[in-house]
Amino acid sequence: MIEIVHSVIMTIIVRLVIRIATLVTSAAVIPTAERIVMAGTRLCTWGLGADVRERRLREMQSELFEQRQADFAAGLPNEQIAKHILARWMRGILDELSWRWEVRRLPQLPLEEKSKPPIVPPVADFQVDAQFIPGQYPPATVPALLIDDGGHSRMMGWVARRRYEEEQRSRWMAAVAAQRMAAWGDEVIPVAGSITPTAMKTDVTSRTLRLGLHSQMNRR
Amino acid sequence: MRRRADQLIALEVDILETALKLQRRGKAEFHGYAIAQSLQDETGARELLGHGTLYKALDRLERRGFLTSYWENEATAAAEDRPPRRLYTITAAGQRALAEAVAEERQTTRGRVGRPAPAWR
Repeated sequence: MIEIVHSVIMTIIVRLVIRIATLVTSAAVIPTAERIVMAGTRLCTWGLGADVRERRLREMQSELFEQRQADFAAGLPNEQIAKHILARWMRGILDELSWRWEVRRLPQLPLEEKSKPPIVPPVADFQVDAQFIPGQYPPATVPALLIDDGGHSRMMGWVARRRYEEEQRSRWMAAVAAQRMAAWGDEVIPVAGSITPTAMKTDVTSRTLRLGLHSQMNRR
Repeated sequence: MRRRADQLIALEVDILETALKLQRRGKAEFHGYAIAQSLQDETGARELLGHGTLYKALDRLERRGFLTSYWENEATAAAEDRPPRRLYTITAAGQRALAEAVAEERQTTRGRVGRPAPAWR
């Protein structure tokens, strides 16, 4: 009798362990696949500029999330989702490597120079060319960035943090930046001071606004 | 025939075309996965574009000024409980480049029936 009870209990325990193990393994396949992809991306971006690397890693994180959500919504099982993630990554490996090769060929400042704080001249005259996207820009004849104090601060933010969130706030789409901005690169430079427009030319056909600016800035 | 350095490859043309279509549908900004999905729908490809292939093309288009991108607000992403998206938009230069590429393609494929299948498919 005891043997029968023991056998039944053991069977239940074994089944339970198998069930839990299956569930755990099934749930872990997606994070595992994502970890593999992220590790591969880290490897592919190793030695590239910190900004390039960080951007690619963040983009990959977002991409994996979106893919996982879409596959979940489609009702796919975990194993299938993991397979999709890995297969998609593997399909792009050759391009990932050739992209790395391309990026490495781009002229980059030596690391020592990059780590130095950027030089912001206290007084400078420079020019900004901005291109607008139809339906997304304030009327070109009224540059929103130069209307009020808020505009001024946005302008400074935009100058210093080209391509970052300030761009979204102001809805400006910069196609070409001024020479000095190009020299500053995309680094965040907190600045205080003022930027005064000295000249403004709007070309409605090419939707380009050219601003002559006089800046008086001190790095914070 | 060797491709000119400034010439768009088939995938880049497809990305710009899809971006323009999305813009016309009121979705001017798109993120990587959205464009991959739209490309799959538009071209009827069996699989989604590989990560490396997609981001290499987006990066090249952006470096040439045909796309512009920015990180969406962290707060917006946090409110939707997801990582922030890198949002891309086709620029006026991108639209011009696309128009030129399409015109060029029409010239070279004149006499052929339909458009050749994208090389990346």
